[in-house]
Amino acid sequence: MKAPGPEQYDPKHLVIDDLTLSAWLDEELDSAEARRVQSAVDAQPELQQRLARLLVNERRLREHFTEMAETRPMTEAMRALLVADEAPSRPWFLRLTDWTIHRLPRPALATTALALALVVGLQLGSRSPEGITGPDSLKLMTQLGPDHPWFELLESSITGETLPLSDSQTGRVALTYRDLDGHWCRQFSVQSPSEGSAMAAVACRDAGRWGISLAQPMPVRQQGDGLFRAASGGTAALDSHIMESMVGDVLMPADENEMIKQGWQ
Amino acid sequence: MIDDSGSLRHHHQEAAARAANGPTLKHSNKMLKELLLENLDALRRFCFSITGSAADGDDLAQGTIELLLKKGVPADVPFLPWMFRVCKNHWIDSLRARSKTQTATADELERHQGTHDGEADAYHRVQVSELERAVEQLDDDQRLVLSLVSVQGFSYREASETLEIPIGTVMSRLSRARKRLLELTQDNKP
Repeated sequence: MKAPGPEQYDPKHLVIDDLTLSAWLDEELDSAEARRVQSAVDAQPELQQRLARLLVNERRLREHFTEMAETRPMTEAMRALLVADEAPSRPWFLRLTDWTIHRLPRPALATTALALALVVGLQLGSRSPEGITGPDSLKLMTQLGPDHPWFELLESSITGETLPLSDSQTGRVALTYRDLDGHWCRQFSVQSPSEGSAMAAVACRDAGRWGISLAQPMPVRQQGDGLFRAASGGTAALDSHIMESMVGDVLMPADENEMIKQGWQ
Repeated sequence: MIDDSGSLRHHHQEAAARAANGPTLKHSNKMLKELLLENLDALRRFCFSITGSAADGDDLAQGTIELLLKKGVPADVPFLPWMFRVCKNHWIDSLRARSKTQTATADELERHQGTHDGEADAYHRVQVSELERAVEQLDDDQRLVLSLVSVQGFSYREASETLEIPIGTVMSRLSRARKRLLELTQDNKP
């Protein structure tokens, strides 16, 4: 057998081909092979120079294309594909709620609110079972007087507080604001976790009563505990309505407390 | 030195398992858009480096996004390699189509329009164009490997799985690409 030549022992004479040098640069060699290349690099100035030039190109490549990706704006076509249908960013106070209410043409509002009130009224059931089928009771449902189970929620609770409305229903006010007519308005939600129904609405206070001006049934999802929760959805239409009708700022809880004490006067 | 049989075997086993299990669950469109936005820089970096230019790179990225959104991405596969694989295939398809039509690329048009941009960034342009020209002169296969390993920072195994080629081929293409780049950028100094 031929004895190993001096080049196998002397790092100055080790021949490192481009394939091996490239793999060493990427730390893809096993440790023994990597040590062998390292010793050759340490001992051979020509190899050091070649390695240095390789590294310059590597750095320039990486920096150049990274900078290009980071500084060149996303094209309009890409934006249209990836972000065009995202909801516009909303003011912080409108993010308080996940409830959606679609704005409806004015003539349709009363009818829709009445119908929805009937739906929820039916779920209330025991509250006024004899009165929910006639036209008069529908009208009553859109004007929430002190005898209505939702009246207390709108009249006396602060934003974010969940109140029981009946054995099976809970309600929660999402935000409070003043509208163009100077009325106090509250966006609120009513849900029945056990029955799998929910609705969201906006009610405004006039002459001591809360009148529902907008309402919509909400999609619900069954949770792990078997109960239903209202699913979050797009809120652009609701935001739009509130932004159009709101005057001034959303009321903060401390101010809400003050208004509650004063009876919304 | 490097064993590449394991990863490929694993890859084929995965594919066989997917085929045996029937249709796979895909990401929802919303999730897919989120993933694309999250990895958009990586996709564009890859596209810029394999096309060697900004305008052509953005065209390629755009086409890749359209394809991914149209065909969907299985939820049980790593997203990044899948995205690069779709991009690579789309690029090869477009190269074949372009070779038939011989139309000017978007980048060629952009360069033509940009010839009167002034001298302020002339030095930068010289450097950039030297690098871009050098990359353009590499073989397509070499560009793909160089883009994944040198620009994207993939390991040889990751590059091999993404491009569906053996690790040994990754090594040799990469080595040849680097050697060619050294020849084409003789004036670079450490």
